[in-house]
This record gives sequence, C-alpha cells and structure tokens, in this order.
Amino acid sequence: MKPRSAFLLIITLALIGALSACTADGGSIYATIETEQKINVSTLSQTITVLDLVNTFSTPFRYLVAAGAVYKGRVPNTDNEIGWPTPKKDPVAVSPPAKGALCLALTKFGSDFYGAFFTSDGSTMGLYKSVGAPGYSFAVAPIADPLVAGKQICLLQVANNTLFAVVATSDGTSGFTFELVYSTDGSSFTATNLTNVKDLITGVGFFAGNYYITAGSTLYSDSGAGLNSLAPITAFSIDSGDELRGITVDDVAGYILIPSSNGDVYWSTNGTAWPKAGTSDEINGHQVAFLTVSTRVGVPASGDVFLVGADGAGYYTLNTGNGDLSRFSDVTVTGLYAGAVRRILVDGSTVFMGAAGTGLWRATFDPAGEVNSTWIHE
Amino acid sequence: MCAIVVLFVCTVTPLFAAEGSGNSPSQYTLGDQTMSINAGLFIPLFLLPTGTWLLAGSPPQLSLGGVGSLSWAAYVAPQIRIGAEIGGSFTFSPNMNALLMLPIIAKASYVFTLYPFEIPVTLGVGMNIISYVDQHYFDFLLRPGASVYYIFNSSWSFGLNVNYWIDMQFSSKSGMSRTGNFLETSLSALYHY
Repeated sequence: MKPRSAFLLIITLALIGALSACTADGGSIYATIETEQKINVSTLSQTITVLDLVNTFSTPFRYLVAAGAVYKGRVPNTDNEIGWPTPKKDPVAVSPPAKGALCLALTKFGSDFYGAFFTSDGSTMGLYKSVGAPGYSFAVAPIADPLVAGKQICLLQVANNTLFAVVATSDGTSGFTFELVYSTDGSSFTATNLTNVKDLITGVGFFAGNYYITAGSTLYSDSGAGLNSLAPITAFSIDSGDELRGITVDDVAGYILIPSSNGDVYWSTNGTAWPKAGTSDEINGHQVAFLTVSTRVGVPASGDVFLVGADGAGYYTLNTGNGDLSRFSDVTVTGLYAGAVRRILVDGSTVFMGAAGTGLWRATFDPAGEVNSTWIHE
Repeated sequence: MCAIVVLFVCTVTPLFAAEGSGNSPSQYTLGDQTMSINAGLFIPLFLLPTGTWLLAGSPPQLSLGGVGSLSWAAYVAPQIRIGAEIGGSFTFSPNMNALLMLPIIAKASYVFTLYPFEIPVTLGVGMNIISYVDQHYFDFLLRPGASVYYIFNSSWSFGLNVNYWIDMQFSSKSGMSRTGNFLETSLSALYHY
C-alpha cells in the first residue's frame, strides 16, 4: 500500500470513529457499571428452573421451592441468609416419593403440601401429599383417586378452599388434552365440565363469588353455578393469537389478574370490567410474553403495584392506577434481567422470583413497589 | 468537536517530522511497512463523568482484563510511520458480566532509534465498539502510548507497549456521559517489510 493511500485510509478511519462516537445516543455503559452492585449468591444452583414457589406460613421452613427437587428454605437469619435448609451448606432436597423423582407442580392445601411427580426417566407418578411435621416429605403412597392416580399433572392451584389439578392426557398423536379436576378434602377428586380441552389450562382462581379458569385464549367462569357449569366469558375478548397464561387472585387487594402471551395484563376489581395494560417491547425480534403476575407488592399514591414475570425480559412493574407497565432495567443483574420469570412469591416486603434456567432471586421492595435492596441469587 | 481533535492530530504530525532529533539514523525509508501483533494486560483505572477532572472519577468496578491487537503501519518519513490497528479487550464487572471493546484506530508514531532499541511514541485516534450485556455503543477513543522494541534483526523487533486508553462515551441522557480511562501493557512482535 502506498503511503498516500494509507494516509487517506487512516484519516477516513479516524473521522468515521470520531463522528460515529459523537452521534451515539444512550451511552450509559460506564454509568451502569459505575453503580453496579455485586449480587449475593446463596447455595441453590444458579441454573435451576423454578416450577413452583410456596409460602408455608410457618417456621422454621417458610418457603418451598419446586425445581425438579423440592427445597425447603428458612426464614432469613440476621445475615439475611435463608439456607436450603442450612445457611452456607449445600442444599438438601425434601425426600421425594421415589429416588430421583421430580416435582412438576406444588401447592399448599389446608395444612398439607401436594406435589405432582414424575420419575427421572419421564414416567408419570401422579399426585402426592406431604407427611410428617412440619410436613416436608413426599415419601408416601400417592393419592389413590383414579382421576389423578398415576396421571400427568401439570398444574396445582388452590382457590376457595378447593384443590384444583390440571391433568394432561396424551391424545394418541403428538398432542395432549387437558382436564380440570378438583377436591375439597385432598383425597377424593371430582371432574369439572372442562374435559378434553385442547388448550393447556393455565390458571384457576376464585374471585367475587365466581370461579375463573384460563385455557388458551379463553377465560371461563362458572358464573356462580358451580364447577360443572364452566363456560367461556364471551364479553372477555383478547387479541387474535393471544393466549392467557394464568390467574392470580389477590383477596387482600381485591384483584384478579391475568397475564398474556402478547405482553398484556388484564385485571379486574369486580369481575365485570377488565382493563388491561400492555407492552410492545420485543426480545430478539419477538413480542415479550408474560408468564405470571404477583400479588400486590406496593401501594404508592398513584395506585396498586404488581410485578409481572416476562419470558426473556425479567419482570415488569404494573401500576393499575395509571396503567404504567415498565421493565426492570438493571442490566447488571443479568440472570434476572434477561430471565424467564415463571413464578413470583410476595411475602411482606420480601419478593422471590423463580426463573427458568437462571435460578431463584430474592430482594425486598419498599411500600411504593420499588426494589430497595440488592438482589440475592438464591 | 471530535472531528476537530482528529484534524488537529493530523495537522501536528508533520511538525513532529520536521523537528528531527539526535537519535540514531533510521534504517527505514518511505514505503517500508510494519505489521505487529500485541497481547497483554488491560488495566481499568477510573471512570470520569465527561468534563470533570481526575479527582471526580469513580472506581472502575472492573477487573484486570486482557487485550490483543493487530497493527499495520507504513513509513512516511525515516522516523515517522502511520497506520491502523484493530484489537479487542475484555474485562469483567462485579457480577462477572464481560465488558468487551473492539477498537479500530488510526495511529501515527514518531520512532526514536537508539540502536539496538527503537522507541515509537504513538498517538491513536478512532472508534471503540463497546459491548456490555445487551448494550452496544460506538465510543470515541484517544490512545497515546509508547513502546520499547529490541531490534532483533532487520525484519523483526520485539518489545513492550504501554498505551493509555481515553474512551469517551457521549450520552444524550443528562449526567450519563463518561470517559473510561484504561492502561494497556502488552508484549509485541513487530515485523518490518
């Protein structure tokens, strides 16, 4: 290369560099790093997929986490450590019903805990109830009712003092059909009229005297007529292609909330009007999908604040007072910021977020619904 | 303003050439070229809010990192060479998120020759493609530095580079502009042809 050509090339390079830098916007990488706080790491694997989170409302083990194995966590000690079950020690899983059995769904019903298990080689095992004070072993015989015995159960939820289970059955081809069954005593189950449903039943709730169930794009209700009279609510319409991803009922705050795959959250305070808030954010070219909604986490002057778990986008903060829906913005908490938050458990000011493949996260929130601590990666 | 800095650098380069010095005569002439490969440590120093002075800087919160580059240059005078360089560096934040940089710079060097050593004093200017988690920006990079090479033979020299990175990150958001200050110390193999 001739020196004259080289000189021109260099001048061009320098000008491109200088001018592109001058026109950049944002430019907050250094400011972000400057304020980055180190995430405290606890003892659970940082790559677990959290399938369910349960508040036992008792001591010493306040929390149960279903992530394949089931772990029991203590009330945080003075060092703000939880321990699964012993701080600074390796986690010890709750005894499963069979060696290597994995828990797919978990809930508290009455004073007992119910878990849906399958074997490590993929065979379904059905539904199990925990035994032994304070109730942290599933090493017992399964629930014998034929509606759930040996069945694949993909959702357990409690509403109106009733235990609901969603049973999946292979349709003989490549798909499944789903059936909603329920029990009021934890041992004998009854089928609802939702049988052979093609869409996954994703949520059950009881609000303002009615049961609500989400499946695919449909919101069902019994309209007070009982669980054999569940029917679509025709007045509840969502966008074409949108799917409902569960139900959260907050009896204290007086809300029923439903997240959707199109990045919307529907809520109601009376079961009649269903306002919604949505985001048009995209992750890797795809519309952000919502996976779950928390119970109320804050009560600022502007309204009630809830947290919304998102697929690949961490979580959003929803203010139902003004409809604001804003994404968690701390990119330095990478596993949470870009995680798929499937479950959120609010226990006073403590909030747990269970993600798919990036573990369990914990922080405290202030009364306005803002994070006021560093995140702990349990 | 950034363009003005570039033009200034280009303007003063001939002044360097005209000054001359008392060092040994260079064995290189117009048209001779060099290629070098460099690898070493990347040391974060501090971050400055743009427009403030040293004492206002923040600890970088970044770990010791690594840097590597490929460089080409041509002699435009016996003791002056100009060229270009592309490189990469990495360092980590407190949560082990990688801060990655890809600088592409033009540079000019004045080479003092004290046989068997040559000491290029260099000023580089260009852009720095910077990436952190899901944020990506083009920064303006100013990079003064110096090297000491042992002249092994007429083709090869081996030495040490010390470069100071002044990485200017302009932001449209108030109070968010920063200047990153880093030190590069790297080993270098230089080939003359």
